Amino acid sequence: MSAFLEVKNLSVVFPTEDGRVQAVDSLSFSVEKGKTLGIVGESGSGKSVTSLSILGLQKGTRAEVTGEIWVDGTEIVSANEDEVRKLRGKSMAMIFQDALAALHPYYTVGHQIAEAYLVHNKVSKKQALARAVEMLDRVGIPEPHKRINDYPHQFSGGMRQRAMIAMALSCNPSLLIADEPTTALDVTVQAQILELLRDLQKEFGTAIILITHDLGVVAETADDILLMYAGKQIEYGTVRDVLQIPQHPYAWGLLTSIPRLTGDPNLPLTAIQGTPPSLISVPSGCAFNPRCNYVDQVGTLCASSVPDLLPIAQGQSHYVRCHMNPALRESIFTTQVRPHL
Amino acid sequence: MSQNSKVGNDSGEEIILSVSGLTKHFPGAKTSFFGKHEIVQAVDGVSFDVAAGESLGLVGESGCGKSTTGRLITRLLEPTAGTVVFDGQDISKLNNSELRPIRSDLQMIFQDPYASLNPRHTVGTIVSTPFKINKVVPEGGVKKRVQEILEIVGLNPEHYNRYPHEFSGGQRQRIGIARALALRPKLIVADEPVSALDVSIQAQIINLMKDLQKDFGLTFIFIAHDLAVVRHFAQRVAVMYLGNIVEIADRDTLYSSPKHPYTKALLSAVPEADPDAVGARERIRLTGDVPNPINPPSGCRFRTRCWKAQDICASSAPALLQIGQTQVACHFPE
Repeated sequence: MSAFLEVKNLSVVFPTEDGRVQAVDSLSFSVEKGKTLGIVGESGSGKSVTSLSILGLQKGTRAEVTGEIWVDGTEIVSANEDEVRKLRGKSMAMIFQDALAALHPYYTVGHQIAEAYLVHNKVSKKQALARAVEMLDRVGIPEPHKRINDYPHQFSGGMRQRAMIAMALSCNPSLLIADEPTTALDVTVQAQILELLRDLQKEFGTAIILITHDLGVVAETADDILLMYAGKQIEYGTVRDVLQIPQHPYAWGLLTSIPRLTGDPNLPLTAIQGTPPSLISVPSGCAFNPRCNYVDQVGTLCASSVPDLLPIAQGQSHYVRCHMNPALRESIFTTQVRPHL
Repeated sequence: MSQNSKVGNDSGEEIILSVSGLTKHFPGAKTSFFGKHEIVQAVDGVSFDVAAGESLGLVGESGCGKSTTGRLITRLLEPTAGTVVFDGQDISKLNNSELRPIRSDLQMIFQDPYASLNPRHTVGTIVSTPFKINKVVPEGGVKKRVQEILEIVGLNPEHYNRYPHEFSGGQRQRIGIARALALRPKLIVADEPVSALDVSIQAQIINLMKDLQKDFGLTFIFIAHDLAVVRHFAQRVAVMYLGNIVEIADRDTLYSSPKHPYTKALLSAVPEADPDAVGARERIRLTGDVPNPINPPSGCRFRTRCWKAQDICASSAPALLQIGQTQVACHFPE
C-alpha cells in the first residue's frame, strides 16, 4: 500500500422495505498524506455514506459494505468493531456539517475535547484538559483557558466549527474527513475555516477528504476531485483537470449551471434538465442518461450498459465514466462547454 | 429619504415600493427575573426604493436582517418604526383585515420548499387558495387558471391532485412560485428561493424566475446570501450588515468597485470554481464573527471587524451617502 488511504471497489447497499438501495457502487480512490481529496455530488449521490464507511461507522447496522478500505495498512471493511474503534479518533477523525448537533449540549466544550484525548492516550485528566486548551488556542479561539468551561450553546457558529476541528485534531489523526464543514457558515467565516484547515494540514501533514457540493470550496482547498452521481464515481482527477477540462456531461452541466462572479448575468444559466434519480430505481445503463443532452449523439449504449471508468487517454490520471468517444467529447467541450466556463 | 435613494433608477420610473427608516426590534431574553427584556435590533433604520419591474437583491450574512426586512415589507411582521409605502399606500400600520386586499399584489416565495407547503393539501388546493381567500373567480374557473399557472412554472397540469411529498425539492419550489404567482402580484419577495436546492436545480429555478419577471413585468426583492446568485438575478443590490444597509448600487458598480469595506471583504471571500482564480484574487480575511444584535457596536456596526476603523467609527454612525453611482455608509469608503 503506497497511499495512506486506499479504497478499492467499495459498495454499500441498504436493504429497505422499498427495495435494495445501492448508495455507493464500486468506488475506488486513494489519498496521500498531506493531500486533500474533494468528493463532490448532489444530495443522495453517496458522498456521506462513503465517509461513514471509511470510519467504519456502519458496523452493526443493516448496511452491506463490500470492497476494501485500507487506512495506514489496516483494512476497515473486514476489521472488527474494537480494531476500528482504536483507529477512530487516533488515526482518523471526522468533522460534521452541523456543529451544534455534533457537540453534546450537556458537557462543556473542554470536557468533550479532553475526552477524546483521554481515551486514546495514557494521560491524566489535567493533561487532557491542558491539551484541550492548547487545541482551542491552535484553532484560533480567544482566551481558550476560559472558554473550555463554556457549553456549546455559548459559542457562535464559527467557534463551534472550530471547537469541533480542535476535537477532531486533538490526537493528531493522519486522516481527517470533513463532511460539508462550511455549508452552515457565512462566507466570511467559511473563508476563515478553510484557511485554518489548510494551515493545520500543512503543519501536521494530515490527509483530508472534503465532502461538499460547492465547487468553489473544492477549487480552493482540494488537490483531487472525485465527482459522484447516483452512487458511482463518474469523473476523477486533479482539481485543475476536472474543473478546467471536465469530461463528463454531468460535470459540464454542473460547471456551467453555477452563476459566477465573472460571468455575464444577462445570459440564462445552462441548467441541467430533470432531477437526480432515486437510488431505489436508478436508470439503467449510465445513471445520468435521462438528463444528458448528448445521448442522441452516442447511441443506444447509454441506456443499456454502464460505462467503465477509464482514463481519458493512455497514461492519464484523469478518469471518466462515459460512453462518448474522445473525439466527439473533445469537440462538444470546445464548442459548447468551454465558452461558458 | 426617497430623493437620494433612487440610485440606478431613471427618475421617470415608477416607484412601486418605498421603504423609509424601517426598524424592527424583537424582545429577547429577560436580563433578570424582574428585569426588562433585552432588545434584539434585527433591522434598524433601513431605507430604499424599488422601481416597478426591477429586481433588488438584498445580501448579507446570517443575522444581518435581510429576511426580517422581507417579512416587514410583506407585512408578515409589524415594524417597530418606519414606513413601507407600497403602490402609493403606507401599509406599515394596517391591520390584518385592511391588509387582505393588498396581499394579492404582494406575495412571497419562501426558502424551504418542504416547510412552506401544507403536506395535507393537494397542489391544486395550494395554488387555488389565493383565489378563494380573495374571492377571485378567474375567467374559465379556478381549476383551469391553476392548471395554466402550473404549466407556466414548468409543472405538469395533470399533477393537480398530487400532494407535495410526491414532488422533488425543485418541483416543490415551483409550486411555491405558482402560488405566489396565482393572483398576478405586482411585487414578489423571494427569501433565499434557491439555497435549499441542489446546484443543478438552482439554475432551473433562477432561469424560471427571470423568465417570469420578463413575461409578467414583476418586481422582485431577492434575498440571498450567495453573492453570485444575487448578481445573476438582481439589477440593483443592497448589502446589509447587522440590521443596516451599508451599501446600495446597481449590480455592475457594486461588484466591480465596492465602496464599503464589508462589501469588499464579502466579495473576496466567495470561493470560485476556477483553480486559476485561486491566489490570483486579492484576499481580505475578516476576523471574528458578526457581533450580537442585542449589543451592536457603537457608531459603525462593522468597525469591530474592519481594518480601516478609526476613533470616529466608534463615536458616530456613518449615514448612507451618495458617492458616484453608489450609496454607502462608511467614514472611509474606497
